Amino acid sequence: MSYFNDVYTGVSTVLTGMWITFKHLFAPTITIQYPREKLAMYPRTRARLVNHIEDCGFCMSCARVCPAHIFTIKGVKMEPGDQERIMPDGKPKKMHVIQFDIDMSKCLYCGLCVESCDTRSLRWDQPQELVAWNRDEMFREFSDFTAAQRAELMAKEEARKAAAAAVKAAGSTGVPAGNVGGTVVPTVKPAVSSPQVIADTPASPVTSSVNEVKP
Amino acid sequence: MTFSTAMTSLILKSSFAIGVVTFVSLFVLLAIWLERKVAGHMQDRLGPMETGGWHGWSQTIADAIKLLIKEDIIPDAADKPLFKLAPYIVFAGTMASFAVIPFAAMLIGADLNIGVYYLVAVSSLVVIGILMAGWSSNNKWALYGSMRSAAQMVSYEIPIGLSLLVPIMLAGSLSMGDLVGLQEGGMHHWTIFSHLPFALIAFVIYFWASLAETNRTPFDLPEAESELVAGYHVEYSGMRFAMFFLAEYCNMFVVAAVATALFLGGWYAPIPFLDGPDVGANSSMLTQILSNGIGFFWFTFKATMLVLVQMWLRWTLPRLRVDQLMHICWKVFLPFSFVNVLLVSLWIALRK
Repeated sequence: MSYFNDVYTGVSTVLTGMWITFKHLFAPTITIQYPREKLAMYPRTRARLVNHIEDCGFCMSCARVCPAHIFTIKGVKMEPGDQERIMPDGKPKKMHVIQFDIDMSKCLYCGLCVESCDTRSLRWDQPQELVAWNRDEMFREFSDFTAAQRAELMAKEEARKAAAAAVKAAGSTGVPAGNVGGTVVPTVKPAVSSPQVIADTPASPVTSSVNEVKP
Repeated sequence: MTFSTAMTSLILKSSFAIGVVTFVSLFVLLAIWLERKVAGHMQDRLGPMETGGWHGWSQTIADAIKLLIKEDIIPDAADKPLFKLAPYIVFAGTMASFAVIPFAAMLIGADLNIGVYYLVAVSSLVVIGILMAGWSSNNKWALYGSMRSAAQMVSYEIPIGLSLLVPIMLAGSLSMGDLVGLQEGGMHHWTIFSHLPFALIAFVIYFWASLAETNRTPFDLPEAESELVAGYHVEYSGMRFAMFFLAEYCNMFVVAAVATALFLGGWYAPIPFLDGPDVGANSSMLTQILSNGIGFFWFTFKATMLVLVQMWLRWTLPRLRVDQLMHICWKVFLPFSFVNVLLVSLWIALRK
């Protein structure tokens, strides 16, 4: 009788298997049509750095802690009344960040910069694609100042420094300082609307070295 | 017969042959795409999705073009004449079966009085082609594959023959036209349902054995990828490989078409209401075309459904071992089909 039992088992297991595959034929597929459909990344994904520049206080802790020296940051002091902004850590914003460039091709995704950021302006972004055709595309600018504004601010800073030096020199000789450096800068562009200001072309390195941290 | 009528008949027959080849090529293109989609969805994937836009419909065309422009490599140590000939013999053996496939009442290449016999004989030609391919490749995997193929195809000829005997005995004829004509008038007249349970058992045995005949899973030992790389066509490339591939899918259609003709009512619709108009000797041309067109539709529909079941089985079952293969053939299919034939003949004898 075991012969007929075997035949019965053979037939019934085949039918069972066919039923299982039949169910799977109409089950939803798990494939993601990648370029058109994208999965959300996990919240802690370390994919790309993004700086929410309006919260950046030019503390330089990110640049200081970075083992790969991927940051190029420049800032100038704000004039009184430039921009009345209280930072997330409760202190007023004191510096214009006129350049904040990140070279993601050098980044080793350790996350130390994000941990060290007091104002939480530097954060991880979760994009899908990190690939680029060349290195320049890995270079990201976050400063919301135009080149003209940047030049103007830097000229003012130079003037103020020169004036300060002059005051210092004058102080040593006993001449009182004039009212230098107190001029109000005409409206600087207000806090940026979108945090992701990505330039198409890499920043041309500005030769002037006002508070520059360049590896 | 005058010369002109002979010429007319020749032209009609050759146009029918061209039509069959066209149909087969289109069917194979569709079937390969369908197989990949079925395989994908059964594994919770999608299958080809890009080529051609809608669900990758032209993937097979792209693959065929790719195979056409590939280099035709012939190994140095191969037996060159046999190596070159083998794929065409396999393909010709399969295509020859189409001569007696009854697509519709008037769409039969040749309604031979020994139609089924011819079909069984011609489809055995595939074994020779496969043996030639395996031997001439001068490759151990190819030889193993072709030996296995020969062993299983020759073994499974016997249950196939015995299960095909059931409808033949019931119809009392070997002609395809007669065998289908007997099943006119709705589903309950189809052989598979009109003589329960014998014809049903015969159908199941035929269908399973035909999987072995076409070298498909679960009987795909001749091309077992995990053991033999690709089996008997391991050394073939380009268009010669495509010929093997074409022959495999043609063969799937042939066995499905035979099952349709002998067991599933051929060109007749499940309900007589859906059949085409009756065709008499003096029907108009339009009526004949309409009737045969509807018959063709039903026949290809049923055969395609059976091909789908073959794909379904392929993506359900694992490959058998050689001893299991032989066990199923000689110890299960053969006794069952033999007893089946005896019981059917007893029934026929008692009915008289």
